[in-house]
Amino acid sequence: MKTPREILLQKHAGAQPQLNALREQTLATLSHPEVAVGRSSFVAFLSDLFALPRTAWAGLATVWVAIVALNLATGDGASPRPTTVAERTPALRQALAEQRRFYAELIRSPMPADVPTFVPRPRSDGRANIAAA
Amino acid sequence: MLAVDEAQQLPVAAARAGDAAAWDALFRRYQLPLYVYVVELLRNEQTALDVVQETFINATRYIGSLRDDAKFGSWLFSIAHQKCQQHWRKPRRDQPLPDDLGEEFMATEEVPDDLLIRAEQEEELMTLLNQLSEAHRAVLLLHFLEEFSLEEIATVTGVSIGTVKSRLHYAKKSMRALLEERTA
Repeated sequence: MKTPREILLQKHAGAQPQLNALREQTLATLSHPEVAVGRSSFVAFLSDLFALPRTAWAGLATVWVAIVALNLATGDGASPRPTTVAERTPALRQALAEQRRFYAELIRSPMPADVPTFVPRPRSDGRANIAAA
Repeated sequence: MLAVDEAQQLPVAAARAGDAAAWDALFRRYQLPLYVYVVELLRNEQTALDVVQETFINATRYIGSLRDDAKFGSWLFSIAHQKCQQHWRKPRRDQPLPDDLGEEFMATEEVPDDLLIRAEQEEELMTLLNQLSEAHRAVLLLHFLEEFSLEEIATVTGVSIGTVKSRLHYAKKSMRALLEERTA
């Protein structure tokens, strides 16, 4: 009587020489770490860094291309520019001149006469006024 | 238990430190069971040898990702299982893996583990293995070859423990039924 494990291992025992060769090949790469393992780990690092998120890189590139294209397509017409003196129309020039004149009048005009001004007085003056009344 | 006791003595820590002798010991221990697992799944000897070699190379490269040294065996088999899945996807994209039988199936009856095969039944064991789907075969092989726990088999095959129970129960029940049928 045998266990299934024994039967399975016995059935494929003929592959042992090939498996031994595979094992020695793999161990040979371990014995030269500066050449084989070092290089492979560096390549693995690079592939981890760049190859794995390939879809993410592609998505980011697409988004950037779309942003640049939109910017180029709408850049001239949409952005407001300050108007220069040469571009002002006569009506605009007149309105600006009126506005300047109005501001100048406001600055020059004195305070209205009917507005009461508060002048601080001593408290004794107030009592004298009450007594006189 | 095969896996648990032996795992204490495997030189995984030394292998992680880059000791070639430790790797040699580990590969010697697992090369044949790993090959049997892969070749029984893929049905192609040359491809199975390639997968074993890729598994060894990946193991030396990514040993740093192994957290529990006692799980080295199941970790190694999980690398090989992923390689097998890549091979399954390539030529037979139109044939999906068979569905599970449902987790309620496993609770109906217990099948004992002490399955011993007489000499005249050895060929029938292989015939039955061939009749099982890849998913059921994978679970049964992991159970037979390394006596992995349900949790370890679930980790290797990437399915839930309930699914592993279901598949294992179905596979063992089928095997027992076939063996009893032939002896009756």
